[in-house]
Amino acid sequence: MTLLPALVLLLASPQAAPSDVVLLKGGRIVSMAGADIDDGMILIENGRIRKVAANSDAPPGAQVIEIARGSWILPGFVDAHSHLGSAFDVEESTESWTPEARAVDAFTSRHAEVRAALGSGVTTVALAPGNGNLVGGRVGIVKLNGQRYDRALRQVSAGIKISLGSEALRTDREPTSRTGAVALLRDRLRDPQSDLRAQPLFVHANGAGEIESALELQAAFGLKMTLLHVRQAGEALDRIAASKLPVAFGPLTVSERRDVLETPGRLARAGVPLAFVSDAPVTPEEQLRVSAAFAVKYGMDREAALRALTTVPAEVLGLAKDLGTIAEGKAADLVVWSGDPLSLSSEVEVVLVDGRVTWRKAKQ
Amino acid sequence: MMRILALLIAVSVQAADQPQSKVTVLRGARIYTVTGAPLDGATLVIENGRIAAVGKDLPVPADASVVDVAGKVLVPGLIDAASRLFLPPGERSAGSAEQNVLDALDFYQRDYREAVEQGVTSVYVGPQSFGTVNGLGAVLHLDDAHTVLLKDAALKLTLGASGGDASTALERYQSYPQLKQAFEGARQYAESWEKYRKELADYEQKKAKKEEAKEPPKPKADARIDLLARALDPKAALRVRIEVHTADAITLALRLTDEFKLRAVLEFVTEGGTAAAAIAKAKTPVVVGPVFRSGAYSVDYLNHSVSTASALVAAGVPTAIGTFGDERAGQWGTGATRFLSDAAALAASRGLTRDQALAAITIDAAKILGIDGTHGSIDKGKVADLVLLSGEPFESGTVVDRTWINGEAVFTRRPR
Repeated sequence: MTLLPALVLLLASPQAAPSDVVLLKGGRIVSMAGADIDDGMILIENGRIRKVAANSDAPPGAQVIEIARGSWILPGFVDAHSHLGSAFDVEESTESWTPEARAVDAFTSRHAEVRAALGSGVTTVALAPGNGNLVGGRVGIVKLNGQRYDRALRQVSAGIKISLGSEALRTDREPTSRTGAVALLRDRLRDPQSDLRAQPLFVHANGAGEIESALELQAAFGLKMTLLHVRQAGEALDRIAASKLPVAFGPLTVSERRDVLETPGRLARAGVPLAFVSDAPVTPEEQLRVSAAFAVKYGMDREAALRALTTVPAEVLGLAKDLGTIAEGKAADLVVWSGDPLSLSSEVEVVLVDGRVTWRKAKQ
Repeated sequence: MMRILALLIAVSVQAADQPQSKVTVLRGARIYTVTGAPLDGATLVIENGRIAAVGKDLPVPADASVVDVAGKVLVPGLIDAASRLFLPPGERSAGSAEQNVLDALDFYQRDYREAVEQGVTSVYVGPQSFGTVNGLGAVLHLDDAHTVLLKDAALKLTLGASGGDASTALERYQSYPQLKQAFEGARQYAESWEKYRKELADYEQKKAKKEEAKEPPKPKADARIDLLARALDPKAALRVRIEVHTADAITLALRLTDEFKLRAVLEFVTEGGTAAAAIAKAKTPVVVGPVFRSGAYSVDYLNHSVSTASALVAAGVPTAIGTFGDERAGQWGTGATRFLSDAAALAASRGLTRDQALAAITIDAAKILGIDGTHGSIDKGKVADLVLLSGEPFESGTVVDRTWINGEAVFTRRPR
């Protein structure tokens, strides 16, 4: 009978590391939870961060991963809005109100996009329904741990996706207009038992008018809301800042107007918590850091840009206790970069998810 | 009073920006010449819009206006070997127009100014349609006069691009024989004109001697075939730019190039990583891109990879990185060119060295476009297209402080 726990452990981690104790030795640790540590070390036990400190001797029995001088270690990036590995098969178009549809059901954990995402430093992704439905369904969370679906799935629902975008308006069913869309939402929200009032909402709102509508609903019903994409947030900046709501911004692409490129910096300076999103496969997951790099180029503070890839998306998704920083007790989702990840020429060297090496740069 | 003060400030700023002297000396920067090793704390002399001298410990001419740029970095003006600047917005068309891109450009667009602010000084702009033969591209200077540096820079061909979400397999196999037939026709066309010119000369000689002679029949002129004939003529040596995406289309393009001894440049080369050895063997240069995959959902980009540029360079293929705009939402993005150095930086995250990345947007781009005699590096005698960076290229936080075109400061960063 004493064998049973060991067996269970084996089953739970079929590709377990040779040792349950892993030590990342060396490198610059950008923990996002305090000052950076030059030449630090991170001790990992059973997939969790046990200790973050200045470099010293490895405890006996630890699997040591030597980090090259000049490399940076950051928390794995968290994408607050993606359709990764689901070939966009995330829109139940028979009706506009599908709150029980779950985006995670379209996810293929071994999709090629998942490997590519790891190779660009992303370890956790919020999978969302598309924009075609007013109420699209459940936003779920997957860990990019390279494992099969049931082990990659972290959370079936972290909230509900709502779309105020024109994509949700059709001529063959309601709503056909934004006025209709807002009226429908108001009508359902008046019910105090409505799930929409209990759940975190992720509201697709790109245009300034869509953003205003979302803010009106939020104020009227006291909703827990994250504004999504918000490309024209610059025109509603004061209201967004006053609402204290977080935004999941982007992705920023090469085509963006200059004022859109400048918007993340303006939002961050106004105190708006901002996370970047990739909207994969609209852009690849790498667009998270590309967006951050573009935003920095157009005036965003680099600390805010790094938070927008780590701590803020973790908070927005309700995962801050577990993810987003390199701190004792958190999941050991760590990415070793050849240098500053905001320099686009830097590359990912090693990715650990839950303390296990999940991706490694191919030898040249 | 305030107004006078403002005027005074404006005048003094202008005076600092536009030295009266014809000779400008930039002193103290780290200079990436891109044709040799970087020079630290070097001096660069600009005279009459050209680089008069570059090196360490150079004498400063007495009448020179000296700019202290110690601690900063100078690189050559960046060259986007595949830009969509000045092109009107719209979807790419499948029609095969015998156009000259210069007739289609909209110089009222101001996007080029943002590109200049990011250090881009020259661009190649070509026809965007993807019929088999698509007309001529040109190289432009990004000065306010939009000077044409090279007209008839290349004839655009397309081999099996979809431009949409339909499979391109059939187009690939159709466009190869179509192009082959077109070039064979052009060869005959050139021969018939050659024959006509000889006969005409002969006829005119005889006529002058009052001998009996019959005027030869004039062949029918055809602008489209004439373009193809110019690509076949070793004296005209008109370059062809062949849009290819898949590895098998690349193979067909190389075969066409070999069969007709074309002076070819492959562009896009989405699956270039797979076909790198074959391209290298054929010694055919490429303009690779876009490096950023954003929104384009055409099957052409199905196997897009950030590492394509690095694979090509590693195989020894002469490689330029182009931005190619952005096909997001079916629109031609004219904004992509301002992110040229970022595209090169991202390519450098997948095995390209930073020096190779810089070369791919300066000297190697110049060579592939055919402007390397005057542009693309910081060497004596070349046009003074220069970019002053606040720090090392490709580093986050490095910004463009100043851009020169023809030795004129066309952009100076205002302190934030």
